Amino acid sequence: MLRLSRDVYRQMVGHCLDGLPLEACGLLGGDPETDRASLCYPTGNAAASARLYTVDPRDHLRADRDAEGRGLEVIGVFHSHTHTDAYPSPTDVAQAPDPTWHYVLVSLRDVAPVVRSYRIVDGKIAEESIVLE
Amino acid sequence: MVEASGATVGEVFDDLVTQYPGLRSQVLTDDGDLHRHLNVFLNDDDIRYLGKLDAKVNADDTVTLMPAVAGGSGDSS
Repeated sequence: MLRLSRDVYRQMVGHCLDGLPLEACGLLGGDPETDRASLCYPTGNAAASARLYTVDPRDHLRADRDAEGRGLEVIGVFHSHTHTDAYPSPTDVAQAPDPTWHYVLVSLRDVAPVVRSYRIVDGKIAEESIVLE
Repeated sequence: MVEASGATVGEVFDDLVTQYPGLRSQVLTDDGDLHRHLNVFLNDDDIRYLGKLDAKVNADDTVTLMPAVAGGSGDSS
């Protein structure tokens, strides 16, 4: 389960919409013990692509330091799929960097964004519920 | 956070993997180059712009290792 504050949800979806027509990405900061993401770190997409994303390394460093300064951690990553489902692609699975993270997909294929979250461990995808708090 | 010694990032990595041999394959390729899925910062600067493993390190500098975070739909349509 991923707990998201409503503010984080809005910031996340807003950043993805702002990124169109390219994929957008960002990091989620929070408490790994409670799986609550209370911080949204919109990051640059260094790939600048409608099919790929790479979290800008400097933005990742800033997010990591900011979360740490608040006694929290980066606990996940979100990115948009501009034309496909909110489901991890083979590319997403192959490059998932941390098995403890939450992987949030925001599909912008249709007018209404679709947001889903997953765990990706050893190449296996497991969807998890999102609870807005 | 760990301590390691060296005059360059490369030497710091050598010291690091001597202390923690299991890290070698995650940090360096078989050729001894920086793993491309790893981002390395010397204080606030990406070492890609500082000469990579040749970047000079001073006492009390912080070297931060972070995995690259990437993916995407990969959709070609």
